[in-house]
Amino acid sequence: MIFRNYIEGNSFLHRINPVIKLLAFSLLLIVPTLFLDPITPACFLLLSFLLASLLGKISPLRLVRNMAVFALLSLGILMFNTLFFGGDKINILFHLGPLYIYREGIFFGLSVALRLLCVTTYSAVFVATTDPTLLASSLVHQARLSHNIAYAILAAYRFLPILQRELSQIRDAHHIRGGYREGFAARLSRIRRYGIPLLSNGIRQAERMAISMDARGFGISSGRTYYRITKTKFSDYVFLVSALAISVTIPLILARFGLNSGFLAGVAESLVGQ
Amino acid sequence: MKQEKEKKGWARWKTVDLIVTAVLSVAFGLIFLAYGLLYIALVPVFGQVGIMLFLGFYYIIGVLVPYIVRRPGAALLASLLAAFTELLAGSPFGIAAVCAGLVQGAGAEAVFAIGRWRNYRWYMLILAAVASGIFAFGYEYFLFSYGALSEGVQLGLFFVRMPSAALLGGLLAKGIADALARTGVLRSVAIGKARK
Repeated sequence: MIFRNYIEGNSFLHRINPVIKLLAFSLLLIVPTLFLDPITPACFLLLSFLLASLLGKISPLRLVRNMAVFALLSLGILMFNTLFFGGDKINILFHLGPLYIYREGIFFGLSVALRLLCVTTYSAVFVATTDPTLLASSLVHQARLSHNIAYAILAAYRFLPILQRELSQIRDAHHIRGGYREGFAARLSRIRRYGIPLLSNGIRQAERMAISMDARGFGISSGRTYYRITKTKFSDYVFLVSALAISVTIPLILARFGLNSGFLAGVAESLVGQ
Repeated sequence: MKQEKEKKGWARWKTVDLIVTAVLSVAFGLIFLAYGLLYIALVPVFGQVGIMLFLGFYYIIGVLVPYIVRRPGAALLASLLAAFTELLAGSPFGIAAVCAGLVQGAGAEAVFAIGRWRNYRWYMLILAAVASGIFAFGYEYFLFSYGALSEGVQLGLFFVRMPSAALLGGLLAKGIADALARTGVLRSVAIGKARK
């Protein structure tokens, strides 16, 4: 219901073990943060589009639309990081009166903005190719999450439409009693007047759920059977290792051409003999 | 035997604790999703530093849930669950939100751990929210390379979120939990028992 971002499919990305996929994507997201140049995150952003279309059968247009949410924010971050850049400012690009814009500043601003776009794109690819129940199952079997916690989470998710219905009920009750007012202050007081009954109803139902779970022997025996068990395959590890390899290779290649900057770039350059 | 069990009785999670944690975390995960969109819309108005005034609300889940259920690990679990909910429900911050949740939860958990998970007075709630803020700053420092920004800006990014954390993360959590406790609905969890 709330997970409309998951698209059913049978691509390679769909079939990878969710926890391993999460690990691989997190790895691919960490690398751009280690460098201060805009080329590195741009490469990883391109990589995400390639992954999505080739291995995930996700249309690039969908990813572009996903990035649109961040459009204004990225622009704001670009400006902010350019203006308040604290490193060596050498090359002046242009100036508006007393405000000077340096090339280093813009590069850094682009770097951070592109990182954000990477985050949102990889996340979108992950969410689009991961069935939430399989993710929960994978967290239990691969990440050793307590199965009680996973069960409680799934129970809570089943709960949400009920909460939604209750919200409409509360809203209607207020309307019938003539309690609706316009305005910003009214909206704030509405948050409190709807929120507390909603939360307390939710908790009351949670308590009821807990009692019925206990009555059915929840959490008593550690021997538990499962309907679907997620397993890891050889291809999962191939994917993980490839992600690691790419994470190392791209910075090294960029270092070879002197394209990256930041502390690690120096390390990479020395490794590659620049 | 019974004495041993009772000694650690306060630490054992009951089913009702777990379900209340799950329900609150999932609900707030969705609230955070909506809040995130508001956040994105307000950045052009307040700027990167000014928007930190709104950041404290994210720390509320790591304070509210422990204050209610009072079990070890509540802050970390609730924070992570809320973040995962955000991710799966389509937050643009996605995986970064999960990492942020992990870090913020760890900060709050550390504070409650120092209080041996038994001290939930108002100043502990504020400290937990502030700790979430400190840990979150550390994480953002890495993610956004704050080190490359000018020092004044770095200080601003660190300090401006603290009053927000104390108010929207700490005191608001206490306000919500106390209001809920007054309705009597929290009688079967730790906070209800503590108020008797």
